[in-house]
Order: sequence, then C-alpha cells, then structure tokens
Amino acid sequence: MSTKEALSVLAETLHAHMLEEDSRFFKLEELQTAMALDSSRLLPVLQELMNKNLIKPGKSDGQISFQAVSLVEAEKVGGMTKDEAMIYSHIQGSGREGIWTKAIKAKTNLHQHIVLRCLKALENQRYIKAIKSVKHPTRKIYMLYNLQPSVEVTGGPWFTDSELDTEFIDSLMSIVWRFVASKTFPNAFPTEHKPEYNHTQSSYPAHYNGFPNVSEILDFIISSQITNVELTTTDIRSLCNVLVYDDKLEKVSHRVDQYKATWHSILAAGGGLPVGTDPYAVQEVPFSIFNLHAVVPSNAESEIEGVYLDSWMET
Amino acid sequence: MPPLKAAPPSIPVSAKSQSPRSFLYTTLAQTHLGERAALIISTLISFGRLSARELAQKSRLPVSVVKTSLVSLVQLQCVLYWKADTATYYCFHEEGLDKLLYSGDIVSMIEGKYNDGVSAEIVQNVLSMGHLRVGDYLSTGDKKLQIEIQKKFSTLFQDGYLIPLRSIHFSPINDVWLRTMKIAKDSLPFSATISETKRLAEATKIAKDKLLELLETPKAMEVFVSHNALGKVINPDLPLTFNLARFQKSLRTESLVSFATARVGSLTSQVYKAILSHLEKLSPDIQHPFQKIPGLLTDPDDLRHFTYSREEKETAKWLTFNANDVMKQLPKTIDLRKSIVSAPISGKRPRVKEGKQAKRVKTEYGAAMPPATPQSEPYNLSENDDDEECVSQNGYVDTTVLVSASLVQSHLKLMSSNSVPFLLETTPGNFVIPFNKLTASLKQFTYDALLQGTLTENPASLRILRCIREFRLVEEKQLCAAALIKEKDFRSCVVPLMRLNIIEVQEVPRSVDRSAARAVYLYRFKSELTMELISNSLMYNIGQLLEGIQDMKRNNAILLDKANRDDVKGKEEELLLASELSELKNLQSSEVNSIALANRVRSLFDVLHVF
Repeated sequence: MSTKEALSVLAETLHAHMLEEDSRFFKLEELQTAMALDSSRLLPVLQELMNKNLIKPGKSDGQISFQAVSLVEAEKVGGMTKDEAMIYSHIQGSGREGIWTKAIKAKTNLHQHIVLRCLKALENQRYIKAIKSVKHPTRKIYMLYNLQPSVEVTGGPWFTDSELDTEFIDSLMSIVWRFVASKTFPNAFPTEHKPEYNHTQSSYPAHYNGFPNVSEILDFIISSQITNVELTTTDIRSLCNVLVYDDKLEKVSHRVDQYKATWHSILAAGGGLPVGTDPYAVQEVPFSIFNLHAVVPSNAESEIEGVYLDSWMET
Repeated sequence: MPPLKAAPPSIPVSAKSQSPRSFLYTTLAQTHLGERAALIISTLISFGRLSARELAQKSRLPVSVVKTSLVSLVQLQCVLYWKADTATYYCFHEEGLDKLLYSGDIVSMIEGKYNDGVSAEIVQNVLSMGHLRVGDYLSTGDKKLQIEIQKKFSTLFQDGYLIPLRSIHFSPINDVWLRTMKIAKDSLPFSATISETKRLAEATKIAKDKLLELLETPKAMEVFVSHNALGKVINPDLPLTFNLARFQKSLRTESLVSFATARVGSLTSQVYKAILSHLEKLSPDIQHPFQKIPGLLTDPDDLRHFTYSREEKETAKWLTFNANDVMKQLPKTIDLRKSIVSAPISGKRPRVKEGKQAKRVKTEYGAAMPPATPQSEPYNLSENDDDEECVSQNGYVDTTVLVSASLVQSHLKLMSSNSVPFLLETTPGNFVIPFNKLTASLKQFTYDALLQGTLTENPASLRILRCIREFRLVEEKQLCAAALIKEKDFRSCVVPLMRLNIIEVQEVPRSVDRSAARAVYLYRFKSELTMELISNSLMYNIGQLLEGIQDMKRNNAILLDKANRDDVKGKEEELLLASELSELKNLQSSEVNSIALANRVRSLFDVLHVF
C-alpha cells in the first residue's frame, strides 16, 4: 500500500495544495484559510499527514508551521527506522552545509554506536554522503546524497577534494599572466624580427588604456575553454592579486580591477630581448641585482666561493 | 739586562664580533693601512671619542705611535679631531675608509667618464694622500703636462669631484652642531616674554642656517686665480680633496638606470641615464648634513618638515627639464624609432571567421591557450584622421630620424606614469626626478630581489612577505587564502623569513591559560628594522670577503714574497717553478673574484644603506 492511497480526501487536497509551494512553511491560519476548515477539523488532517511523513513541522516567525514533503521523500523516510529517520531529518535540515557527526549525536541524543549504524545504513542506501570540509578537514560531515556541497564547504574552485589544487592555480596564473602581458606590451616575446617594432624595446604610450580588467580576463578564460571549472570575477581577482604578490602583475593606478604585466616579469620569462640575442652573453654593464641574465664566472678552484646573507646572523 | 719587550698588540677578536661595522672598517683599515691603523680604528669604534692618551691606554700602543698613526689617519679623514677645553679628542670617521673601499670604482669611473688617464691619476693621488694642493702635484710631475693637468684639475673641480679642503672637514659634525647650537642659544637671552620652547626653536633655526653656511662649498670665484697663459686656474695653494658625496650620486645614477631597465625597458633607461647624468652635479647630495647629526630629526614634525623641504628642493627650477633638454644629452647612437607603438583600436580588429577554430598554443605548463589576439598588433594610426595629432606626438610616421622630441617626450611620460616614480610631471611637458620617493622604491625592490635570490628554495616566501606587507598584521589562514598557498606548505615558507628576522610573530592568546595550541599567531613586517638587518649582513659579507683575501695572502706569504722580490719581478717565468706559477695565477684569480664579489655586495649595500 502506497503512502498516498491511504490518505483521506481532505489530507490529499491539503498535501497537494502545500506541494504547490513545496519549500514554503505554512502557518496554521494559512492552512485554515486555504482549506476553509476550523482548527478542530484541520488538526486531525495534519495529524494524518504527519503520520504518513508527508509534512514536517517547523517554526516560522515564532509560530508552528508545516512544510510539505514529496511522496518519494515520504516513502523514503517511511522505510527508515525511527532513529534513521531522526538522523536523516537533521542531515536534511543542514542543507548544503552538511552536519558533523558530533552535532548529530548532540542533537539526537543517541548513542554513538546507534548514530554510526544509522549513518552507515543511510549511506549504503545512498540517501546521504560523507563530505570533506575545507574549513574542518578532520571532521566527518554528512549531507543529502543528491545535494552539492556549498562553496564554504568545498573551498571554491581552487580546491579539489578539499586540497588546494596548486597545479591548477599555477597553470591558470601562467595563462592569466600571458594574456595580460600580451595586452600590456606590443612585442614582449618576439619570435621573428618585425619591421613595425623597435627590436630593443617596444612599448605602448603612457595614455594607453587597453590593459585588461578581471571581466575581460574571465571572458578570455571562458572563451578559450581552458577549464571547465566555473570561475567568477572574484576568483580571477584573487588570482591577479597573487600575481601582484609575485611581482608579475601590477594594478593600473586610478582604474578598478585593471591589471598590467611588469616588464621585469617579461624579462624573467625570457622575453623583452631582440630576436637572436643570447641573454647569457657576457655584457660590459655594471652589476645590477635586477639583471636576471648576468653571468657570474664560477671558479671551482677558488677557496672563496661566495658569501651567505645570513653569515652575520649565524655567528 | 735589557727589559723584555712585550709582543706588539694585535687586533682584538671583539673588532670582528662587536658589530659588522667594526668588522668591515677594521678589516678595511688592516688591508689598506696596516695593523696599527686597524687597531686604532677598532678601538675608536669600540669606545667612541678618545684622547690620544686614552687611545694609547685602550689600544696598548705607545702614545708616540698612536700620535704618529693619528696624523696619517686624520690626513686620510679616517679619524676626526675636536679640540675641547682640556684635550683633543679623536673619533672614527667612516668617510675616509669609504673612499678606500670605493677607490677602485672611483678611479675607473673617472677614467671612463673623462676618457683619459690623467684625471684618473689625479683622483688616485688625491685618494691615496687624502688631499693635495695643485701646486704640490705640479711640482712633482712633468712640466710639459702642467697645462693639461691644471685643466684637468679645473674640470674635476667644476664637475664637483674635487672640493677645497677646509678645517670643518676634520671636525665631527655633531661637535660642530653642538657648538653652533650653543652660540645660537647664547645669542638669544632669557626673556619673560618668550617661552623656553620658543627660544629653543628659534635657536635651532639659527643654528641650522649657520651650520649650512659653514658647510657650504666655496664658490668658484674663491677657488680660481688668474693665470697669465691659461686664464683662470685653481689656486695652486688650495688643498683639494675628493668629494665622496658626488661619487655616491654617480653610484645612484648607475643603480637607477639598472632599475629603470628592469621596470620600464632598456631604451627608456638610456633616456633616463642621459637625464640622470646631466642632473647629477646639480641635484642635492644623497645625505643632508642634518641626517648625520644624531637626535636632530627625531621629532616627527621636524622630520616631516625636513622631508617636505627636501622634496621641494627636488622640484627646483634648475632640476626641471623637458624633452628638448633631454635630447641634447642623448647619445648620438640611440635609436628610438618605433619604440613607442600606437595603441590598437578594437574597432579595427580583424575578426576570426565563425566556425573556424583558432589555433591553440601550448603554454609552459602544458595548458592550452589561444594565440595572442590580433589586438596586440600595432594599428597604423595614419589611417585614422582623428588621431593625426597622436601620430606626430608619438612619432610613428617619421622613420628617418633616430630621435625626435615627441619620442623622447613619450618615453618621459612612460616613466612618469609608471608605478615606480621615476619621473614626476610638474607641469605639462616639464619633469623632475623625485629622488626621495624613488630611492624608497629602489630600496624596496632591491630588498625583494635580494630575498628572491636568497630564498630560491621557497619562492613562495616572497609572495607571503608581500602579502604581509599589504595586510600589515595578518594571521596564517588569511595569508594562505590570499596567497593561495597550502596550509601545510605555509610553515616551510615562513620559517626562512623568520630565520632572517624579516617578519615578526605576534601571539594572540584565545584562552585564559594562554595555551599555545589555542593561540592565534599574527605576522607583521617592519621595514626599517629589516632593512638595517640586511644592511648589517651585507656589511659583514664585504668584511668576510676582504678578510678572505687577507687570509689567502697570509697562507701563501712565502710564495708571494718570492714573487715580489726585486730580482724575481719580471722574470717570474724563468725563476719560478711551473707549480708556483700556477698557484700564483690561482691566487690572482681568486683575489679578483673576491674583489668583484665584494663590489657587487657593496653595490647592494649602497642601495639599502647609503641612498
């Protein structure tokens, strides 16, 4: 016998009415108005639905209210033991945030063995699933099987299986930097001698405003189908900020969210040099710490090989 | 029986251990001036100001030896003296030994700048003697060269490399200041109508003006005398000394040009070099005399006012320039054509045909990315009539002239719009160099580059440091989120920063028992302290390298003595064994390498400490 078959006509009508807005909590007055019943006649109907797990009680504005439960859901809960149903309801209530096993134990006041047994049973039936939280990696957290964990739980696009995916971040940063660099300098990585550029240095004029902003960078990533991970402008902004910390990008002054590549980062990546130039050729220029291609002849036979910055602190 | 002679006192271990400053200058004195001078320098650094008798007592040298040594040290400006009522006191002066430290660079810079050996020889002699008179120098040289030498002296004086020596150069500036201040205070009598604070402020103002007057370099008219054949020449009886402050400005030029090459580009840096070289002589000294007086600029208001007045001087009319001024200073070979490319216009972008898959480029990480968009191709602005003005402004059209005022102007604008304040546009088309702000940026970037080179095992450390710098006071989780670093990798990145005392940790207890497990740790960065720490480390490194050369020479003293014998000199190949010759070659190359290393470390020290 299915859940719906045994229902009275009134109960069925009420349930159908409530299902029309299934996520909404109905107050008693609302239900009375909808069904045109007084409280003495409405309560047995509600009791009937409660017994069949077709509604669940809750509180809305400090008053008792009820929410409809779908037939499938009710049937699912109907097949559970009392303890399992109680635990399931708490897990369901936690939504996309999930609930910690310790919290389940505290809320249900059940023994740990029972809680664990019920969780195992629910997990086996694929009603719930265990998830890992980025905020609390050691906690065992459960949520409904069909739900996707929230960003707070997963940590956003930078996390894969609750671990910061540094490889993904690094490759995405490299792409972002390349894109911004191509917009910042006209001929940063020359592959052949082009007559329209000066082979020593080519720059856009000071009034140039073609530096990309985060939306343009995001559009570029989406259009080039580099990744199937859903990214937002906030994610791109955080990537750009990391590139700023790495001195690869800098914020364009007096512009919001606009970035440009640093010339130093171009030089560090092997760009900014005329085609065919050996960057490591010995140059007759004064020593500079910014000269990334300076050649220091090694003298293996020499006893005085070098000095260490922390020598004084180590003495 | 004659009394037993005590062993000559040696340089104490404390000379090395007490401070990097002491270690460097003692080693430097030992290398260039000998053991006694090093001992005196070390004692003066340890005890501060001493009389000759006290110095003899502390250094355990005979008074006569101390006095003899002091004469040479004072002459070289390694030691300054001050005649008080009761005795004459001596104190250590870094400038003299700095001149010895920089001597190699000074001579080669002069040689390169004037492209002749005579000027370099003059400077070399001035450096080795401390100071000399033109008359004395001419009396020892070839008479035929006298005219040329006199001209060279005049040029060096006019360019600011040689300055007349005055008695104030031998006096500690702090003592001069205190005396000036006392005179100024005495000149303002106590009055019931003026408060003591106001009287002191007024006296300080008078004393500051007086001190600047005392330190002012004599004008050319006071230095030059008429000569029958040559017109005006430097007074032959006037003692001249090398002006280290002028050389430091040349060092700053060199550093700033390299900095501009790294931040803007090599052609722009050449334009910048032309400006810097031109303004080197006119620009104010790197260090103002007031900065050398301890306690004078401790009040924040005074310091702010001082910084403001320094910045105001940087924008003086004689330091302002425009593109035409720069063009006159540019080397003839520089080719600025096509160095400023017009901005692409989106409307003119050729579109990729729909359905046609763009070719993908594989990045260094293996991820696929489309090729650079055609937006990066320059757009010929001459097609667009509206931008005619821009065409001439940016100089794309005229391709026959290597340099044009508009191109130079574009490069100047490029520097003034950079995040590093290389230039400041005071009025449209007119620029100045904001040295004060610029050197702060230079220090910051040099410091970062130094750490980047040092912390190669943990490249993310620098990212964390920049993050801390931005957030000022920040905790671990926030740092990990901002820098996108795994929490388990965070500690390994922070440890090297803490080991070098770059960042500070602040513990914030979260429980009443201050349990360390529950406490939160915040990180902060203090620029001045860390800069000083790194400067000291670099100072120690220079000392180490110089000491290494000395040790190497000491270990091979027999071979070096043999090679330096008069009968062996010039006949080394005949009189020395093959193994000895090879050893000599190795020694020489090691010494050259060490000196090169010391100079490189010193160049970093200059940026972090001197500028």
